[in-house]
Amino acid sequence: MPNRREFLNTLMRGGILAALGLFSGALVFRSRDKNSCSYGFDCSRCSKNENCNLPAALEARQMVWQIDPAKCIQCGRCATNCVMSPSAVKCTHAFAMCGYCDLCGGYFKPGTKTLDTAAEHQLCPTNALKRKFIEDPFFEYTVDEELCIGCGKCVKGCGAFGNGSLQLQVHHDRCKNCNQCSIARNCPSQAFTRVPANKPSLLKTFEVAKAATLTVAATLLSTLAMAVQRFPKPEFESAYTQPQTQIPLPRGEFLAYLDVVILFASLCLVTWLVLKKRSRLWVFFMSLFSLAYFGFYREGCVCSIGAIQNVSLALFDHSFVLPLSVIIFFILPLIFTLFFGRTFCAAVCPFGAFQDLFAFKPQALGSRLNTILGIIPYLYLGLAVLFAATGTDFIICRYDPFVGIFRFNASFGMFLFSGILLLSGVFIARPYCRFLCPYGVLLNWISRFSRRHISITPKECIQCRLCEHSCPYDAIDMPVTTKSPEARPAMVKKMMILTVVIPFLVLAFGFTGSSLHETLASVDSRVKLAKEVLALSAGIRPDEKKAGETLQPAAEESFEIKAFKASGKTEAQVYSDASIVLKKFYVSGWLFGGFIGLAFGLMIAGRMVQVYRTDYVTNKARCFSCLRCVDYCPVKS
Amino acid sequence: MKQKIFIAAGLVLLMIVIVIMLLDLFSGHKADPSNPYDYKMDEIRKTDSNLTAYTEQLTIRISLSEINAVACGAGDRIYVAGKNGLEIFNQDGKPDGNFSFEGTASCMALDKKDNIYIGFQDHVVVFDQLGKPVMKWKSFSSESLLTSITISGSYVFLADFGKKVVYRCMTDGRLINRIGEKDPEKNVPGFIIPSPYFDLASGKKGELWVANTGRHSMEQFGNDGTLKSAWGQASMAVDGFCGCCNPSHFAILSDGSFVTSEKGIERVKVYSPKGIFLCIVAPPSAFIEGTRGLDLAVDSKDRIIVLDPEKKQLRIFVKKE
Repeated sequence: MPNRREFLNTLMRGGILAALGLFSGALVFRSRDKNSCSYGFDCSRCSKNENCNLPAALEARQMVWQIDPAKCIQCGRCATNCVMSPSAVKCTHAFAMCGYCDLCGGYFKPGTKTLDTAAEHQLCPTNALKRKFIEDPFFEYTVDEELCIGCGKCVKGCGAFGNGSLQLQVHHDRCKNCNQCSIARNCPSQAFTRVPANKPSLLKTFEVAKAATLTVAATLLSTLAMAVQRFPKPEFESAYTQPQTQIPLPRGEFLAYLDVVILFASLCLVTWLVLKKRSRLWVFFMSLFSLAYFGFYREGCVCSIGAIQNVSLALFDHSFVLPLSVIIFFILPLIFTLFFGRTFCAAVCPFGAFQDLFAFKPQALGSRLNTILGIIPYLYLGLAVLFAATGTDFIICRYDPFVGIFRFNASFGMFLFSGILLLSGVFIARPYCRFLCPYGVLLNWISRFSRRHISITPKECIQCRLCEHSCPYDAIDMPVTTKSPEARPAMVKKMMILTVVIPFLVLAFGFTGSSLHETLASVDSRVKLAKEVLALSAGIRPDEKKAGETLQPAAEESFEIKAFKASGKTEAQVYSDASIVLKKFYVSGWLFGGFIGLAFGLMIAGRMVQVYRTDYVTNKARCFSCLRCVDYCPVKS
Repeated sequence: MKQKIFIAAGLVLLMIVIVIMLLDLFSGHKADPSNPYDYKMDEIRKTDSNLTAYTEQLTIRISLSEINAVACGAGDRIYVAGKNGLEIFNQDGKPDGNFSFEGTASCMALDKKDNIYIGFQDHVVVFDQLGKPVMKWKSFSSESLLTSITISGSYVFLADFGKKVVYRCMTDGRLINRIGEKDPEKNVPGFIIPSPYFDLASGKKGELWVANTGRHSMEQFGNDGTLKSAWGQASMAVDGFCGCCNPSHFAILSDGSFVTSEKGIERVKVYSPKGIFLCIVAPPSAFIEGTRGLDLAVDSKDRIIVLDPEKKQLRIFVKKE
């Protein structure tokens, strides 16, 4: 016969399981927004061809990043913002559009008088564009992908003087398909978009380009459907064969499900090692495997932590495609935690495994410091969900401290950021997991109701105190010094205080959050653009003008403004977009603030409520199931 | 004590990480407006103002949604054709009529009777001054893309970008012969036209001039298709034709000089009848960067009429005093 606490735990577990099931179901079978395509472009390009009855997640499977050349303004950020070095964006030659010109605007520097292959005449900073004589007057231009850095200089030259056959495209053999593409975040013209992995190219061909550039031809061809080739292939007399434009295909879709299988197998194995085998050594080996596979081989993507953002955005934006594999990556560790505690953190998460390697001098922080610092992940989770749900940013990915290391190509700034975090991890074990990880908040709460959590001792605690300092994460609850449980009237009084304090905190923080909506929204690119447009069109009012501040002259216009001007959007549209975003942030600000208020309230409740304990037990919420304490326990099963 | 130092060190480092994140997220720093890989065209767009021998006399706003062709008729009336219609202006730029039609005009010319020949993609329709269709020619080819038309005596010459050939026709549409068609047996190399800008015009003696844009040259042909002369050089310098394929359009002045317009570096220039660069009519700074399709016409007073599709204007230039 279970006691009341066990009964409530079971009830909560059932509730959480049902909630997770409903949540997953809602994500998988969420309705498609019929007014906007999930892929962001017209149905004629889609294999489904308007037959979109399947649930979005099942239908989409896998999406990859790509550049829409029609929107690209060649700002150079593809070369400088990609997490890869050199960039995964490469110049790609649509041979079908090429005029095979002698005086190629993409090849020669402006003003070049001698049309030869001398390096000083070449526009490309890395000499990646190769010129070969075919026959008079035709020259073939090919891109050396190894040398190309994706700067777009040749693309601009070709577009200005020629047919625009040189175009920037993401090459999927190099692209890591980051959850939030670093270039996409900084692209001033929103030319980066997600496309189905089985149709990964947005290369302009004569069909697509018909509406793009040349006024006369575009107009003429608008009535021609797809029948007329706007740039007929030159009539070569030699045996020259025009090359086919190739864009490397992305990683096979089935491999995403292989990741899911490996995640599931890892979770099963680690859970077994933790609960049955109780072997710290094997758990450590398993964490090394996870670090190697999910960390260095899969380079940190896909990960359950980042999946929070995909899920959040998918809930609020029905046009966002959420692959089934990402849903599973989000849900599976939660389900395992519900039943077996945080075995995911023990040895499956590569972040935890990596930080574990640096915990040389872990210090106990004490419960007060743990509680205070413990609020940070709530803030991080709240902000991550807020920014993801509003389509602003994926900040978990943006500030992923280890992905650069996993990929061996972190920028200096990112390397420094990771280095500082790892250095702090020398003294504060797993600092990211404990005081930053937003997914940890979910695991923390769910683990409290876990059915079978690791216990320090397999039998009765003999109070030997050997395990007392074994946990580097302060996740062992000591026996309380009081001799008996707290008296009922005192508990009731505390309960009454909390029932007043917690709603007050929720409202107060909610109000604060909503008041800060403009500050929060200032991160959003649409709001940033509106501010820039406003400053440009109205000028900075004298009362707002700071000392020495002047309006940007036209020559120093930001690329965002240039892209805005090129897009044909009106100022009113930009302000309207920003206004919608601000409204979203106002509502979300209330929710975010309320959530933080609730977290504070519960933190206070946790400090106020005294739990009577006579043994050394693991703190189910904070314990990572790493089994260090088990090794210290002299009692063996 | 040692433990406290370690904890303090760890906490300070952790706080540094958090502060970096918050500062980066909320600092509102602007993205760098500079592009280390910028394609700088400023230098080549600069021209010596002493070379500009024309001044803009008149600007006429066009109400058509898309404009592609300009021509001059009797009494120096100016005709502009584009999508679904045509507008007529007198020599002072005052509206003097208009009519609409279905489709998008790509090129236009007027005969001595002021009949308006309008090229639509693959065929020609002849309108009278009131906009009544007088004649509709049959399609040249499903692949045709007519980009220019000129009338010389009893012949109508048409440039077909799609087939890369010039047609010589009678005014009733009967095809007489093809000019410049690639023929390896006769050692005719054919036109090299990489993009859909393929212009032609008749000179003061009725001779046919064609812009072979891929070769950056102006070529003169006899009625039988014999190449008689050519001039032009590829160069981004002011005296040459820039980019992959220029001049995109041209017209011929009463003294036989050529007025040319280019894309890439948007500029309008005048060359002597022998192809020697003479002066600039409108420098690149006169146009919005990226403007293409600067069709040209010349009236009886040798005023140069430039069609600016970006600004949707007719711009009339006259020689400086």
